[in-house]
Amino acid sequence: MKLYFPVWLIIFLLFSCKKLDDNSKKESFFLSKNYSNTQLLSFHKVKMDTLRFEKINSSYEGDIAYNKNEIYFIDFRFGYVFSFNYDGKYLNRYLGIGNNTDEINLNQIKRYYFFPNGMKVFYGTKNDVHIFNKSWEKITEGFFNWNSDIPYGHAKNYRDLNPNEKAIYSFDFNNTETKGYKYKNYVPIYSEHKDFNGLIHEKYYKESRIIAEIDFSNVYNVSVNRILGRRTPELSNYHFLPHYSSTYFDIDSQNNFYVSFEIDSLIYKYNRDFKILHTFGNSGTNMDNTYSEISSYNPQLFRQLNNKNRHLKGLYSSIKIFENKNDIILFRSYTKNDESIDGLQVYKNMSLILNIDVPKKFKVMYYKDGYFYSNPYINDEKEIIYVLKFKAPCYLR
Amino acid sequence: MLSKIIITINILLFFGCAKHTKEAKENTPTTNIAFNTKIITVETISKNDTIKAEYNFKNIGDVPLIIESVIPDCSCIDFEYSKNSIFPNDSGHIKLKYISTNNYIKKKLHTVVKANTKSKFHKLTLKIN
Repeated sequence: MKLYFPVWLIIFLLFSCKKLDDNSKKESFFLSKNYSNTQLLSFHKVKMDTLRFEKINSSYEGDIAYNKNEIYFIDFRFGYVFSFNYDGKYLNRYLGIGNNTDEINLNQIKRYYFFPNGMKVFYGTKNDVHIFNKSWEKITEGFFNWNSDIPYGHAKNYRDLNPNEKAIYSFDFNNTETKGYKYKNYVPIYSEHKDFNGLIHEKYYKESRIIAEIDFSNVYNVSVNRILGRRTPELSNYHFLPHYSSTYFDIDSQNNFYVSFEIDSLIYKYNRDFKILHTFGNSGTNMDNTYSEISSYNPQLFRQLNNKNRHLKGLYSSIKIFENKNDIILFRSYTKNDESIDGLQVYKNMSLILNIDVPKKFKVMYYKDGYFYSNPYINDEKEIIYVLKFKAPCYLR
Repeated sequence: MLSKIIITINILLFFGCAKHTKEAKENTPTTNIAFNTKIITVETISKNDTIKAEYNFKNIGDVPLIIESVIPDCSCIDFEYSKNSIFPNDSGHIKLKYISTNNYIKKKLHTVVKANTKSKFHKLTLKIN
């Protein structure tokens, strides 16, 4: 008996540990102390100034990147990068689609990231990547290495793949947010595999990964190192919402992630290994939280819902953080049920301190000399590009 | 000795070619193009309808105009264009054909045209009301 008791005990402990481990595995991405707090300051509007850029020969489709001295407009269709000063005056033009060493060899830019050391990377439409140095000379071009035994684009030929299998995923080109830390890029991902997609699979909402970590330390072998995170449990309350399942995030100087999901008012803070640290966050105001579900394999309905009334649906989007001495200032945009106004929340060290009305689609992208600068507003038919800026209140500087 | 000569010739050839390519790029004569319109708007369409749009242009520069490439938004757009050199003051065309094969119809379709013009790229838009 003396001999058998410990064996029995060990077996019991093993099973109970296994069960515990399973539970913690399921919930470890979201359970954490909630630090939601409100210390709202009493104003609701900020005065916006407009910074309009000089007219250029552009497709007027693209995005803005800021640095200390210049503002860049990345022209997604023509492959140009235009630089302007902070008065909107045109300074220079780089790249353009073509095969020469000072040109970019793709059909369309889908995503970009400018590293602090001057290296610039551009993502194409076919898993291709194009890398330039700080003088805008081509270093190399090639394809992302997804570090999988399954060649890129061939996962559709395999069944019952593990959700941790990188080959199932693609970059989410509807959400072009790309964040960096040292030599890494972090990019939102999704899966449209027939056995694992947001249209019909409940399992997708529990187990699909949300962010790819891409390593540019060897530019000749740019590889997807890890796939991270899970989708918010809020999505499991619906059947289903693939059209509102995007992820927005930013990264602080310690490589911690601040993650927001479109239909979830909480913000989740993870460490570099995506272990949950804190949650915080407050609901926006005047949000339409009625969401149309998709319950069959219907990609066309997905595309319709993905575009229909998106500007009026209550969705949280871009996150931008600024570190100021010991404070972390976090901006989060959200959509109001209003044709002309959206919302912008400002958190200081996890407490909501401002909830202000801003123009539609407004998001904060950069801080310089006491001003916060926005995303671009583009009218491609009138050939106009401008950004908005507002003066930072003293408690945000 | 022979290998040294071959290496030297290779190096000379390499740098010679590189220089030649650079000069060729810089010396490609460019002209100016004037489109009659870059935006064509059509009325509402439904599934399996075909839309045809023709964009006409004129060479308003001093050297022959060559359309180098036409890049539509998607494989849902067929295209044809004037492939020969278009002499100064002559006209050419780019024809697009879009078939709406599913119920989801894009509101705007774009096509990028590359030519030996001072502004190398031009965007054509097909708008569906």
